[in-house]
Parts: sequence; C-alpha cells; structure tokens
Amino acid sequence: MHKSVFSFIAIAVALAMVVLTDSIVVGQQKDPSGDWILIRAKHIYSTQGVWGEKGEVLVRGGKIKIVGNAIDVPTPVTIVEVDSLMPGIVDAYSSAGLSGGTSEVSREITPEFDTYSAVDWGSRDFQEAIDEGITTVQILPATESVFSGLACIVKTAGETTERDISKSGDAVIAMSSDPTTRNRARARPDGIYMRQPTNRMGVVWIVRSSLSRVRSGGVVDGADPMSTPILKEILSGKRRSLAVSRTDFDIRSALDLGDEFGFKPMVYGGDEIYRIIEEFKKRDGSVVYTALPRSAASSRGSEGTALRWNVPGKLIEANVPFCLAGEALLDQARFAFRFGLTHEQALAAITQRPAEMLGLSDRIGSIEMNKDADLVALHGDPLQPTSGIAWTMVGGKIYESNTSKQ
Amino acid sequence: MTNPLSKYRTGMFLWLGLFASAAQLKADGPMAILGAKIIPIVGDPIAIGTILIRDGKIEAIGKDLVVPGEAKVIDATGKVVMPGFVDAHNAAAMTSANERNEVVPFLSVVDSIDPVAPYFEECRRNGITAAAVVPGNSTLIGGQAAVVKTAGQYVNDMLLKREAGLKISLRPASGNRMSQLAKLRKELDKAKKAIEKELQGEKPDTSAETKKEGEETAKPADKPEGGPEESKEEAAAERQPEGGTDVASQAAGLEALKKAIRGEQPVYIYCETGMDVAAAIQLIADYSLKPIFVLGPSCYKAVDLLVKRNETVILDPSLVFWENNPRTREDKKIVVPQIFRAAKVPFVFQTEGFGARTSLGSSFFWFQAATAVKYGMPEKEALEAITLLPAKRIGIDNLVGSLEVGKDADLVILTGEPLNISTWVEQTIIDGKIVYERSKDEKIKRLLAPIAE
Repeated sequence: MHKSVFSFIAIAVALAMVVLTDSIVVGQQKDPSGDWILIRAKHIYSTQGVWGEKGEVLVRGGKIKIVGNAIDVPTPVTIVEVDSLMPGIVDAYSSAGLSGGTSEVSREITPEFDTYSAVDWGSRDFQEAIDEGITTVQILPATESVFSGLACIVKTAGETTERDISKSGDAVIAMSSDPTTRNRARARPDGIYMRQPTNRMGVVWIVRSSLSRVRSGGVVDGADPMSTPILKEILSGKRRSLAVSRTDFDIRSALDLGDEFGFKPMVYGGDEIYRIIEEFKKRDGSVVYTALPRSAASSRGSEGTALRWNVPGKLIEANVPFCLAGEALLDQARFAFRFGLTHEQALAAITQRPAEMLGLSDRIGSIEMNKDADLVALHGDPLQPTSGIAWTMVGGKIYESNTSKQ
Repeated sequence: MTNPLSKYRTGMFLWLGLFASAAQLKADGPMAILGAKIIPIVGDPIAIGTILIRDGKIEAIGKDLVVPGEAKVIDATGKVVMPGFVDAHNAAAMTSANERNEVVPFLSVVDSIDPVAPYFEECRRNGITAAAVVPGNSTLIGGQAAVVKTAGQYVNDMLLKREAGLKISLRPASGNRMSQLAKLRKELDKAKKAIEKELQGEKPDTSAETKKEGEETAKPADKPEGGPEESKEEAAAERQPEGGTDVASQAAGLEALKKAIRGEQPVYIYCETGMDVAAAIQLIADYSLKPIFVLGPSCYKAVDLLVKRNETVILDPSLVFWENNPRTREDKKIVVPQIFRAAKVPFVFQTEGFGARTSLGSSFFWFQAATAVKYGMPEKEALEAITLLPAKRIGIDNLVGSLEVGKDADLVILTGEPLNISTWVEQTIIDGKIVYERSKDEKIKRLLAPIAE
C-alpha cells in the first residue's frame, strides 16, 4: 500500500465542491488529518459510472464522499493506489458468527428467537469473510425448526457497536423437510421425544395452523406469547419473511402459503428454481440463490441431466430478482460469469443485487457518493481466479490481506 | 424376433461397428493445427504457430511450417494450444477407490478401470489427457497404480504403464498409527528378507543392480522373476500367518513389495499429517524405497523435511484453508502452494472428485493452477505444474507433458489463455486423434443454456 501526503491544490471538480463545503467545517472541528483516504484505482467496477475505467474514490468518516477523476482534496490525505476496486461483497445467506448452536431444537415455533443476540463478534467467520471481500452479511438461523427465528444484518468488521445494520430482521421460515430431520416418525407417540413435524406435510401444517390462529386473534399452542406479534407482522406484511426452500415443490409451497395468507416470502436456497422458473416469474417471486457451489463445479450428481450451471443466466433472462449467496461468493460470481452472465451482471449478483434484496441498496452494494465506504481492492480483474484480494475496506477502515501477493 | 439368425446378425453388426470405429481411430491421417498461440511448456510460447501431427506424434512445431497437402487442417486462429493436462494421482477412475482388506499389494487398478467411466469423460472435457490411476488413501497397502491415456475403448488401448507404483497409506484406517506402521513394516520386512534370501541363495555373485536391469528388460509385466521353486517356497512360508488371501495372491503381493524395495517401481506414499511425512522418510531410508509423496492438507507443517529431498510432491486438492492454533487460539489462513514455493519444494496439484469438494473450482486443474498464481506463483510455473511436472513425476515425460517434436500428440485447444475464467476447452487431442469437441458436447450446451452474451 502506497501512502503519501497530498497537499491542498486549488482546482476542484464541480462535483467535489458540494461535498467540500460541507466537509471543511466538520474537518476542522474533528480529526483533520488521518481521516481522509483517496483511493486511486486503475479500474473501478461499480454498477454506477463507467465500468472498469480508471477512477478515484474519496473516503471519509466511513462514507464514500466523492467518486470521480482527479479529485482534489483540501486537507492532508492518505493516498492508496490499487489495481481494481469493487464494492464490498454482500452475503445474503450466512451463518457467520452464530455461537452456541444455530438451531432451536426443542420447539418448532420460535419466530421471536433472534440471531443477533447470539453473534460472536470475535468469530473467525468474520475474519474469513473479510479475507474474501465480504463486508455485509445477513445471518440466518439454521432451519431445524419451522419458524426458525429472526435474521439480522451486520457488517463483518469494525467497532462492535457500529456493526449492526438490522438487529431484528426478516423472519425465517423453514419451508422444507429440514425441520423433520430430528423428529423420528417411529418414536412412541406419548414419549417426551415425540414432536411434530415428522414429515413435510407437518411442516406446511405448522405454518398454516400458526398463521391462521394468529390471524383469527388466537395464540399458537405451545409457542411463547412473544411469537404472536412476530407472526402478526408477517401477516400484515410489516415484517418480511424468508422461506428457506430448495426443491421445486418446497418453493411452490412457500409461494402458496404466501398467497393464502397475503404475504410474499423471499425464497432462500432455490436449488431447483430452474424447473419452475416461468411459474416463479408469473408469481412475482424473488430468490437468494445458494446452489451454485453445489452444482457448478460438477456436471453430474443427483440431478446430472437437468440444466443447472447457468441458473443465474436463466433467472436474468426471466427477469426474476435474484442474487448469489453462500460460500465462496467471489468465486461464485466468477463461475456465474464463466457460465454466461456478463461481467457486470456477475459482479452485481454479489454486490448490488443482494443489497437490493436486503432493502439496503441506498447504503451498500455500489460505489456511490454517501454510501458506506465498503470496498474491495484486488490485484487484477475481480472475476479472474488469478486475482487476489489486496484489502477489504469496511466503514472506511482498511483490512489488509497478508497472504495474497502479486 | 426369435430367429437365431437375426440375433447372430445383430452380433455381427455390433462387431463390425466396433471394428470400424476402432479402425477409423487408428486411421487418422496427418493433422495440422494452424493459427494458434502455442504454449509448448518447454521453450517460449509462439504467438502464432503451426503444429504438424503425424502417426499420433508431433512432427513439427513452428512459425512458418509448410502444411502437407494430405493433412487435415484445424483452424485454431485466436486460440491457445498447450499440452494436455496430466493428473498425477486420482482414484476416481476406479469403481471403488479402496479395498476393504488392509494389505493388498497384489491388486492392480488396471482391473477396475472402466474406459466409459464418467471420470474419463470429464478428463477429456477438461483437457486432461493422461492420468495415474492410484488406489485410494484409506488402505494400508492398496495395490498397484497404472498410468493411462484418458481415451480409449479398452483399458489396453489406454495403458501407458501397468505397474506404475505401489500405493501405501500412512493414514490409519483404525485410528492407531502404531499398529498401522507395525503392519506395514512387517510386510516390507517379509519382502526384504525374501530379497536377501534370493541374493544369498540363487545368485550370490549377482549384484542387485544388474539383477534389476535384467528383470526389467526380460519381464516388464507382472510375472515374478527368479527361481520358480523359490517363489513357491516363499509363498508357502507366507501362507500361514495371513488369513483370507490365497497363495497366488500372496506371491504376487510379495513380488510387488520386492519390486518396490528393489526400486523397480515407485511407491505412492500417502501422508495425512506432518508426522506421517517423518514416518515415511524413515521407511524410505529403511527399505530404500523410491517415493512419490501424496500429501494431506496439514503436511505443510513438515515441509522442512521435504526441502532437501529435491522431489516433486503431490499436494492435497485443498490448497487454501483456515486453521486454529490450539495453544494460542489464533486463527490463521494457510496457503499451501505459497508455503511449498517458499521452501522451494516443487509440487503438482490434485483435483477433487465431484462429490467431496472443499471449495468451488477445486475439481479443475486450471483453477488449482490459477489459485497458486493468485498467491504468487508465476503463471509459467503453474502451467508446468499441470503438464510437464506431473508427467515427470509419474514417469511419462518422455511421451507427454510438453509440445516437442517426437512426443505424443496429446494437446488441448483452448478458447483463450489457460487460466482465464472464460476459457473453455475447444478440442482435446490424444495420440493425434480428436477425442473431445466442445461444439459436439451436448451436455455442456444443456448445462449452459441460455448463454447470455
């Protein structure tokens, strides 16, 4: 990293002027020196502006202040030169930092359990995320209970107090066979270990019965009273819900239940979405697609004959809102590019698109004025497997990668 | 339908069909690949060059070659041609990688290689033209490896080396390293004693060296050498302690071990951890083995022991991972190729089977090479580590691994630079025959539809 001190030069671009007037005042009041970072990139990859062109980004106070060329700054500034710059990666389906177990196994209806209170901020997961250029994660509980709990959205680095974006987020519904895995169908019906659902019909039943009880003003048997308001919010559309569904029939059930009760769950997982893509489009669905690592590297497997590599391409063709999520996100974007997405579509699928899906595109997901200074610097084209990450910036702070050298 | 003659006719047709296609394969005439960037691995790349192929061999490589009139011309303008990739260690071609019995040196993977296995199809699709098929990592003495080309109708069409090495695994199947090593030593001791006996008894004046050479020229295959009486005697002596296997297997197994000790065939030694590397080195010294190290992910800790050996090692498919130091509880990212490069220990890559991937992309050699480049390896070295270096490691570099006049015409035509994410294998050529064409690969078309340009 190249650092130098840049002194005041009078010429300023028109764009800069607006920000400068505002910042000079603040700049003099607070720390006047170390605060400013000017990043000069040979290539900036952001859905805003010209794709892959040379450019500069001025960062201050954890925010992007100016994006442009030949930016002049009034105060001493740290200059950082990089090859490629892209927005911080957003992972919409993560379990990073969830400590002490990820699933509630004693009850099926625990929508009020919140992941935020179980986050271990010192977890290695966050270190790994930063290393992979991931700056924001949505943390979901595991899906062993039907109403699994509340997701939260956090930054992957920074002061603990500043890391949360959404403490009490979307409600997670395990609309799949996952909740049945622990419940044995052959256990004694009167035993203490006997619990519903023991099959997938039971999963649908629990969702339906809980929601209809709450809708008619009742409470759900066996569930904590605290769960009622959450379920009410799902029904009224005040709180978004996520349906973790992988097979085509699970995805369909999620949409059906949504239609029945007047809410629209976002589908998380979506392995078999390609089978029902037309229907999914007609029903106005959106999907956080996590199956690419499972299907992309192989041309065989249980669904070997079905189309699976270029599912992102299919989703884009059908104009279905989607993003990539899960493990090795940057590599996922690389493979999505290999399989047919354009450079821009592939990078957007791990930055801009997930930010939109999380309802945070005004804050993260692109390199624009007044957005969070969450950036990733690479030694080359982000979508090439030979390009290592030089550093990741979260909230204006640089975290250097010490292993990738070029 | 029930007419026996019609059955016979169908049979005839089948036979003729097979014969015709085999004949067709053999009859491929000279071929010229024009207009491509050539990366020969040995020597500098040629920006725009020509490769002439005749009788399955590379006849000429250069800039302005005269193309013979009878040659089939492949226009590869704008494409990149390089040697086919070589897989130095893979069990995926076998129907089952591991034997349940612990000591099976008499087995040969040749018996389990299925030419129509999906593994070979994937190889051709991904530009792999030669592979060492080696028994899995879970059997103490797993049997004998073979080196094959990745295209052919029968195993014998594909075979380059029948006895390509004996596989030994130091990973204890039962979790006890003491008994694992004790069992291994016991088997090796038997073979060592048998050799000593032979030397004292039959041929007291012949040195081990001349004996070895003699045997290699006389019997390259699996027939045991030396006095037949003695072989029987040995086999009978070994009979009692081992249950489950017969006399013939015992004799063949002993012979395989003797060959390993006499240095007539290498030993693939799988080390799971750093301590296994130390144990392997002791074994190598004690029994004068010719090792090929196959390393588990955490063997990087023993890299010091490998420095002076000047041997190319085979790395685990998992190249980058995180580790927690149990003492300091400090998390650390381990980049295996970086560690081995820093220690100047040469290495080749493995790919992962499609079932058990640890990372996206680790099923592909180009991706493994790209990962090493990402962490500082020069591209030239990385390309060598998926072609010439593995060919050397498994002893077939006289035939393949680089584009040189006289070598087998095993090559890949790529749509672009080898480590670029958008590059695909356009054609794979083995022994001068086109064995894969992307334009005819219906499977990949289906997998990629719709291509958004």
